[in-house]
Amino acid sequence: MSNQRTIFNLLKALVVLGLASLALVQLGCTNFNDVPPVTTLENPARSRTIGDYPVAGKVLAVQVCAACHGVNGYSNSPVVPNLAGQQKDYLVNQLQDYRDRSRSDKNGVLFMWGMARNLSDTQIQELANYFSSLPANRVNTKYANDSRLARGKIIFEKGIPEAGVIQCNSCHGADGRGMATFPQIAGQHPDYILQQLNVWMHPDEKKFMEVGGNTWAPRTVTFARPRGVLMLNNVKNLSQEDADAVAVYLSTLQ
Amino acid sequence: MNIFKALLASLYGLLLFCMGLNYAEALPLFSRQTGQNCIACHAGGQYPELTPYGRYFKLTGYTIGTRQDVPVSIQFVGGAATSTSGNNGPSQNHQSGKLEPNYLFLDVGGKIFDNFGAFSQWYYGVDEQVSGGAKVPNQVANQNSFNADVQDWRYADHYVGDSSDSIKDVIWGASLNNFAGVTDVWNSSPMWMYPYMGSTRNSSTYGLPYSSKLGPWTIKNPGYGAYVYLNRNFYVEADLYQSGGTGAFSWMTYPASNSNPNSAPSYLQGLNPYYRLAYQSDEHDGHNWMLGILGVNINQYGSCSSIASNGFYKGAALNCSGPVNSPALSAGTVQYRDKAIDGQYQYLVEPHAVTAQYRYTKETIYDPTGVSYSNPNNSTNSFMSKVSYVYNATYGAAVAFQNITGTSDAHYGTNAVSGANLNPNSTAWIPSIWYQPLQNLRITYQYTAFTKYNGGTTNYNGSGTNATANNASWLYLWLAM
Repeated sequence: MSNQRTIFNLLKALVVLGLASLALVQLGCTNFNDVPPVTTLENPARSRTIGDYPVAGKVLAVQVCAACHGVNGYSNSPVVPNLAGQQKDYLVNQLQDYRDRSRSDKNGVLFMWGMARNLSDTQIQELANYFSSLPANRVNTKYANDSRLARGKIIFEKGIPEAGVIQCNSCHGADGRGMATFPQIAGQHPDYILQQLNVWMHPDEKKFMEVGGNTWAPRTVTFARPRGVLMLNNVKNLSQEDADAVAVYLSTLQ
Repeated sequence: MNIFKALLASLYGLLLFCMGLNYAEALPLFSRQTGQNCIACHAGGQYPELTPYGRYFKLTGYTIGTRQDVPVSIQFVGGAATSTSGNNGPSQNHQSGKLEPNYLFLDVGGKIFDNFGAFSQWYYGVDEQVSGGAKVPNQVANQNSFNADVQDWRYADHYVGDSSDSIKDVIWGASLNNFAGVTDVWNSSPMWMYPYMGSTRNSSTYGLPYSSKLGPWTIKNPGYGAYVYLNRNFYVEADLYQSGGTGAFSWMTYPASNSNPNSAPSYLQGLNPYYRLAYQSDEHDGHNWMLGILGVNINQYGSCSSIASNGFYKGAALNCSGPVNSPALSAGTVQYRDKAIDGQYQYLVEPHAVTAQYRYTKETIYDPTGVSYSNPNNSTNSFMSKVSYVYNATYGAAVAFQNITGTSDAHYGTNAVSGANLNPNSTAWIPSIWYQPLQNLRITYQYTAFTKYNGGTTNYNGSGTNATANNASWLYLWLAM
């Protein structure tokens, strides 16, 4: 018993010394962000580091992005977009726009600016590869009998000519799968589609106070998605009911 | 030991030096580390309630993001609490609705290495009514003090299998921490349940006057634990807590020590186990829920106290010849056996955040030698719950219902007329509303209403005190930088 006690105390002392030295190193004023991984202490195969040292995009996808977007590219939260099978060029553009802060829809600012801020070009390519190559094979039956589907289908296929709303499939493809920089919108969460339609439907109204991440002085952020200016003209006359209808319809597309 | 203290002192000297050099960077640590807003991890911005992502961040050891050069943030809590004239009345001061500071928190840690991170919180309490929680006060005077608060130094790893693996996702880790339940990621657990903040001036703002050992801030001692989270559904954790008053981890119980007359350590006998099992549902359409069980076995010594029985604290006087606050080892231990079930529900779809939690705890208390209780056997049943709604992470409202019942014992006081022992039976409602103009700034009005106190609604103690005499309101500001 006393031997066990001694060993236990010895172990405790070792842990304390270890923690204290780690803390000392960590709390010091040295800049660590440029040093390569210390192989004995870092774990590049399962790292959640963004920016301390280069971690493979696939590792980040699984260890960080998947926490919200799902390891299979399907998110559990309706306000977080599915990324499975998303167009690669589109993903690259969006990550770059988050990194340089030119895409400033609300959730982009709150959630994605921080995630993207220290990504390298290589990591962005690898992340886009990962999610674009995941199969988009999930069938959404939740809205199968929704009364809004018919209206949504009309808008998707024919637009609303009298309001200047162009049909979605002219750019996003006949099946909504997207094309290069035009995103896949088929099978997306309606809540997410609505969030984004609102960015373009009310571009001047969407300002919000924000602190967090790197900026702790309160500031006002205006919604913007510069690469989506085409959408600005397309949907500015879309009514809220029609936006709902098209969002629900898109979620059922396979 | 002296070497360790010197190390600790130099560590904090260095830290303060860094803060001085770069104060503008001394802002909420985890948010700077991930670059994300508070609402990424906190449900509706209602810190400390965790979103599914926030739970993942904690379970993976606070390691997401970019390591910070100055891993520090500070928080301030202050406001105006009303006085109460019930049991909480004696020994309070500076109340009656004056605006006063309560807490200044210092948070350090965050990501340290890929598998290692820390949530290390310290606080300076201003005119704090009791040290280490309002439940078994060991001091009579309000005082200023610097304290080790929540400590969770964590190693964690996360394995993700491919589609052919039967185990697709395993998070495992180990923690060095200082409160039973502090490692938990659900807000129905003892350390992280509403009300999240109370005034240093009036312990009624924290709710019930008595809690089980499986409660907030009851046992401040070093603990060592390990956990596994399987497929993001099944969670298992076990920890062992032991006395830390003079050991290598005594910094985790600071300032409690044998020689501090104002702050007695909790003296535990041997290793005291804490366990936790939980099932967390997957998230569907913004809904997720958890059901769990948890428990703790605590064998606790008394300490030599000169204030064991007074108008404020009704504990039995200890027969102990040692200096004040030294452990009363020869008197034996009180054995607490706590078992609880708990649950949580969340609906998180902007702009709405609905969250609800409950915890039901059965506790048996065995005190054969009369360390703290007059009966050898006592028991309590307690039920804690809360529902809240937050709109757009800006406007929030919550209400808690708390109830405890138990056997009568001199520990809970005696009737001034009949001399009969009181029981802990108390019921509290705690509504609050808050406004959060910015994510790091919250203004809350919180009210605690007792419909029963020490077993009675009117004249529960023979001195004419009614339960409502313990009611308290608190208007306060919580700022995190």
